Amino acid sequence: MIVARPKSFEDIKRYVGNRKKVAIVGCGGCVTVRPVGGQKQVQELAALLRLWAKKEALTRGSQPLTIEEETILRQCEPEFINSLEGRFKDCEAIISLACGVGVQCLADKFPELEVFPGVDAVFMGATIEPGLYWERCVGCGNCIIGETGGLCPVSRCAKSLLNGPCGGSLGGHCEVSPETPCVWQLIYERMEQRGNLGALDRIMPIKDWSVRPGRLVLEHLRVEKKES
Amino acid sequence: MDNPNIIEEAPCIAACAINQDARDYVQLIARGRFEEAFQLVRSKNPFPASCGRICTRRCEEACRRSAVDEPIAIAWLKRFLADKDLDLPQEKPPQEYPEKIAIIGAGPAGLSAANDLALMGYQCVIFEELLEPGGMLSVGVPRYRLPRQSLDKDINETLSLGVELRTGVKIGKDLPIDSLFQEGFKAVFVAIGAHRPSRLNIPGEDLPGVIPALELFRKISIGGGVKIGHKVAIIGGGDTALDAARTALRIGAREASLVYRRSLEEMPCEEEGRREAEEEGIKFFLLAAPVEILGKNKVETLKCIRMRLGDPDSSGRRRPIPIPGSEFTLEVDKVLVAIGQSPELDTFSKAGIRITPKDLIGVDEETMATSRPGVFAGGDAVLVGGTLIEAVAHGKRAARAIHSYLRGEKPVMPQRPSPLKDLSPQRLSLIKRTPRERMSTLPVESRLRDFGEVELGYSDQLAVAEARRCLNCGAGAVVDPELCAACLTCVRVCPYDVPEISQEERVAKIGPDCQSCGICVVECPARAITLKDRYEDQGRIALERALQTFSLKDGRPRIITFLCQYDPHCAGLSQVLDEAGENVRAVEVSCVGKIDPLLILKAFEMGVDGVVVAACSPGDCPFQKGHSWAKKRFDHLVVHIAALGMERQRLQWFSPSPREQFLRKLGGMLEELKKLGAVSSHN
Repeated sequence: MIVARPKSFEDIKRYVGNRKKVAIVGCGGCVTVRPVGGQKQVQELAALLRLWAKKEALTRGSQPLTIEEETILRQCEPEFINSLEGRFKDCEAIISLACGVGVQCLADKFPELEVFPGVDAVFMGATIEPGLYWERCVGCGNCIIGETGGLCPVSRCAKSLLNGPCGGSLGGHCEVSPETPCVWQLIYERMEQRGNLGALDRIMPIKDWSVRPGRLVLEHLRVEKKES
Repeated sequence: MDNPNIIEEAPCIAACAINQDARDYVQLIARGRFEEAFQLVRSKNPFPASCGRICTRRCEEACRRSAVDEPIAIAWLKRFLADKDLDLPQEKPPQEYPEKIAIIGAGPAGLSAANDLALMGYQCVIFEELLEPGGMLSVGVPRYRLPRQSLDKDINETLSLGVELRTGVKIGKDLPIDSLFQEGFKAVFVAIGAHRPSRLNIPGEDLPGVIPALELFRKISIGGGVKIGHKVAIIGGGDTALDAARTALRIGAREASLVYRRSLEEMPCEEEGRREAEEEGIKFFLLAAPVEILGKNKVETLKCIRMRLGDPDSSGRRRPIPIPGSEFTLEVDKVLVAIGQSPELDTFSKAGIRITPKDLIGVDEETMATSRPGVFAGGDAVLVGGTLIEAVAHGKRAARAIHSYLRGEKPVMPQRPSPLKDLSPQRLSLIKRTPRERMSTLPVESRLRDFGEVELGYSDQLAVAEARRCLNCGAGAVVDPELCAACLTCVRVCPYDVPEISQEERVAKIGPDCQSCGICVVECPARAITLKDRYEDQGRIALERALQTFSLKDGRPRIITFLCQYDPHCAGLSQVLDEAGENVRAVEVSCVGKIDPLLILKAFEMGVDGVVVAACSPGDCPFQKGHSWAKKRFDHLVVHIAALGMERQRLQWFSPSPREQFLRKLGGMLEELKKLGAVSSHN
């Protein structure tokens, strides 16, 4: 899942500025599960902002701040985004607590409004323990995990080496960050455990780093809709 | 229950013959909401003061807390409410019906029927043979267990609904049952009880000095003197036998010996009563049965035989069998017989009402209807050896059925919920052990002087402390499957490992072992979890009330103090703060782990200048982890407050103990906030 972290309150304050009315929109997908952008966070951010506006009444030109609070099931789906049709009419800006995907979908839906990200999506990751998430995938477009013992060197190696480890692997850790296990050491150990060290003798060919932006067409999922 | 969708209920509620809302009134007591609690009790039960004392407490037997330590003292809590003398008039019926209803017998069954019928809008007349209402509660239960004024309190509440009571009238003798219909009554409820003592059927039974226990009680209750003699034997092992023995000691007997044919284990009595009888010095001759009563012109000797226990009989208890040659004698002045009683039914069989082979009035168990249309029956007349609450249940059921009968409708009887299953074994070690609050009793020396009540009742503080032990079974957290994102937060934060997300259902399920700590409710990022408990709002209403009282005055600064209701150190603190002045208001929450940070922000938003959270010490949290979650959220909130540019001093975490230190810190905070001024005017 996409893992994100809340933006600093400084950033959020800057987005709101002297506006009179804004909306905060949460997403019921990844950011609810990795809890930074669900209904709870929408309510909390709204309360903090109202309090801030009240406190800064003078510097904000005595503007009271009204906030619309909403959370939709997933901000990355047109059907759910469309359910917001007609909303936020007198809002001057929207703060989305979804990943960058959701922010853009909202911005497309409300092109006349400024849409700001309330969180920074950082990676696709797993829960190591509650509250601790580690990157596990970069969406490189050409998955090689089958060749590397079920461990992804593209996302977990500082250099994304395909034929590792490098000389900076020290005692099983990465030279870039000593808290990070060297994924190539882990790959080696797993292959050894499987009795398949020979597989590592094969040199991995140069990877096809696909052209951006990526595009995915799943023909069998396409729904033809009649023009109305 | 009231909600037809609830098919499983807290075991205390399911076990009760009237499905009294035990959990709910206990939860209200835990929150100090005594009036609402009593109103809830009274809405289902016209005998709160009596039930609070002498009920057989199926609820406590069923209480799931028993598996952890001891059951909640539900009856004592009910008594606590009844004894508070809260003046809560019952609502007058919205309509009045023309039909008059005759009720025969002013015992618990008759009065309960009258109570409910009166509340429905019917005019009821109760005919009572004795000079006082109360039935067996009046003449079968001694005053030290149920003081007359407590019984009268219950009865008067029903009579105040406009129920007419005619005492000294015996239906059958003074007034035939048919004449009731001729007089214009449209339905009759027969609740005559069982007042004919059973006989021992042994030689010497008719000697002077052999007295049915009930007769002894009756003589005492009408104020007649009774010469009891020095040595008294009591035959029987139920509550009446114990009461007879204890009564004998109170009217001058020096020695009371109870003769019971089975062992202690089989005695059909309340354990409290038996323990108190032992304390008072009653001698128990167990596994012994009387065979003959000897004496010249009066009782002198009771001859008994030892028994052993054989296989279980139809009652499920092991059958006593005499041991040949084991006879022994007791020198006695009186023999009190307490082996049960039966109803006097001649009048009713003559009136064409079917009598069962067990010499009881035959009724439909659902509607309490007898074989004669318009005649209903309940209480001990249909169920000898029944309990007070069963009699109340009969009366209530009959009232419903009589209403349906008179309106020509099919009777709809309330569904009986089934009980939740026991707490799962892995939960038991996770629930904090807290012993039951004892009720103080009169010292033995002063007990025997008169008929003063032995059990002295709970203080407010003890009642609240006891009520807080309630596990709130069946009213815990519930997940809205529409909102649940299956994020696992609830699974991970629950101190009791209750929530589950099954592969099949894909949403969180929180089972009936939930302890209502509220941690998951606050943590759920999708806001998909709420507490079913309708009395729990996690401090929202209390905060609103506190804010309203602020707005009436102009004192600045304003401080809201969140207090943990469960922490004994916070007991009474709320009052202290409210009385201390206009600057501080208390918001009590049943565990600080239930406080949503949003609520604290709201307080600031609504114009308070400072917020204090007063939590228990980490090890004292009744929910184990409520404290630590509250602290974690608090620390997080402090960071947010700082990011807003608000002063750190506005949000404080104080321990309520020791109180002097707490109040000093609060005083210091007030001074600081005076200097800082209001949040909103700050620039």
